[in-house]
Amino acid sequence: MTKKLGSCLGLILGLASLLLFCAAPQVPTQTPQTIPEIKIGVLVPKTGEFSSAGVVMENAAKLAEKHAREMGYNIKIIIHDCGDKPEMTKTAFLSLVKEGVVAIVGTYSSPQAMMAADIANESKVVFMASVASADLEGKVKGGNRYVFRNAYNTSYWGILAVEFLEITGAKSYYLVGYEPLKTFNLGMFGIIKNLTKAELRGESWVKSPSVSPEDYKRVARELAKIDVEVIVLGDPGLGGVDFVREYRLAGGNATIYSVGGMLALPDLLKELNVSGIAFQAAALELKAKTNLTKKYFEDYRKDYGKEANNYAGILTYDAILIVAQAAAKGEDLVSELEKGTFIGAAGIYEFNENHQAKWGTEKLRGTIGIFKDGKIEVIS
Amino acid sequence: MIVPIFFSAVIYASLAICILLSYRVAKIVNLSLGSIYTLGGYLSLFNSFVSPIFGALIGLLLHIFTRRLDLSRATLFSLGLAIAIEEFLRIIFRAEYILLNYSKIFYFFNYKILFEHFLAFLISAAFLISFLIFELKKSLSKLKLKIIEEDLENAEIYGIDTEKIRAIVLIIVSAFFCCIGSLNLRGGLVTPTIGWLHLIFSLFIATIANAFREKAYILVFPISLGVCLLI
Repeated sequence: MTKKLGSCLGLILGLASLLLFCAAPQVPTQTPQTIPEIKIGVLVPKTGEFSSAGVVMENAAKLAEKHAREMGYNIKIIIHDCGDKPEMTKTAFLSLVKEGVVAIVGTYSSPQAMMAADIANESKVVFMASVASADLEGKVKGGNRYVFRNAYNTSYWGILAVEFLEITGAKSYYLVGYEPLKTFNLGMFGIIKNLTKAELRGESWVKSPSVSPEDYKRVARELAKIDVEVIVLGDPGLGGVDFVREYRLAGGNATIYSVGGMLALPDLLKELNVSGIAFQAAALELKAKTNLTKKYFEDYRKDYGKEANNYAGILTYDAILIVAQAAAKGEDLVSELEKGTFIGAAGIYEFNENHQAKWGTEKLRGTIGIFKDGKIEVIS
Repeated sequence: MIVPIFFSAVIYASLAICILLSYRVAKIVNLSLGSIYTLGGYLSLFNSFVSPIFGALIGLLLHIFTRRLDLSRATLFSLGLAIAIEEFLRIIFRAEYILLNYSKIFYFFNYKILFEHFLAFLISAAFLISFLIFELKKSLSKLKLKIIEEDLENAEIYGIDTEKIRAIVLIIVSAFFCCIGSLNLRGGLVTPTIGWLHLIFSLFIATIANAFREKAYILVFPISLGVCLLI
């Protein structure tokens, strides 16, 4: 009898607690898992001609993911190898689309960016070009609303080079292009030729190192014989260091203005210790643009043990942050990007009617530096 | 301009001979040589003199793992080895590039060159001349090499120790590539993939030379000079 009573009491108590538990109001908890995750695809040239840039882009992308999460954006980046050819970019882009990303950032060369822009339009997934300077504005004018660029366009590269020629008061200059980036180099050279008053002394091209690994020697030695004040060196990648060394060995003493490439890295310039190398960067640690500038450079150094890249790296980092800020608003991503203002490590971004970041404004402008007498000086 | 072209031609001709030897004697298109060249560059951070030893060890390793494989499988293995070396360098050095310093600038008549590059030229020239003498002289070793090149099975029937010769070839070739890499990459930036560029260029010269069959070794240098002048 006592046993039965005990069982009944136990059953009643159990049922009562179950009812109480079910009736209790649920406390809304905002855990990171409940914030919708924003998947962002990143196209990085892990293999091929631009693989050294791919490493910095990948590192910067991972850092952007970390910083965005710290800022409260629940983003997840998915990195795919886009190699150095447009065909591989297409395959990588489409597989990222299949993985359900809201936008894709990255690619390196102009032909790759052009291909990615076309696929973005077909798949209706936003593509943010973070490095290439190809004529993406033309695509937007042609009705492609899914392509944006936070990197400079070719004109701005040229404008910065002209700015340098004017600041230094150079009377003559020589253009050295890099054949694997011919589209970009030709466009930039065109702008320089049109805008500067300095006299053009000539133009040479360095072949791809996979065709001729030591072609820079030929160009550097030929140039050393020419009397010129500034050599504008179109992004030569790793070969820039060899070019500078060979040029100085051959007796050349012109100032070398490097458009991107490894020669734009302050730490490397200090290690190389060759005076008279000027460069432009999207941002330099010496000249903070926003509160993210210092954070980017410091954390990159801390996480990867190397000086952060100040063009392909920082702009890939910014591209991810821009997409994260726009996507977090939850509205149509294209409209948000068109009308919004976004903070990055290189400055405050806004896009014009052709979806090009407004470089050259007070909030967003490139930095020109020069390595002289063992230290970097910011000249603009 | 002719001096740097001549220097490059000598270096690439000797590298092309190594590729030809690997292909004709060891029966392998040795794709690991590019990474071995890069490894030499990285090893020069510590000491350039250790690079031939490391190169030789990799050559021996390659021989051991590919001695029972046919040409295509051995080539595939060498590609795998190349990727393994690349990844090893990435893991160990954790950097996208490293600037290799040079010791001093050397004056060759009026031509200024990095001392290490001049040393790479001297070693390559010595290798090239020694090999040409070996090629032009009638000797039993040369005869053995020719028989192996012509037909491996015949060589074994004649009692030639093909395995030993194969091992020697792969060891020398790898040690040479590693040594030249450790000198020729000095003064510039290195990445784990940089050796491919030099391998592809040498492979190009070797492919042209190989078309000349038995005269390939003798014609390597003129071909290399021609290619360097043209390209």
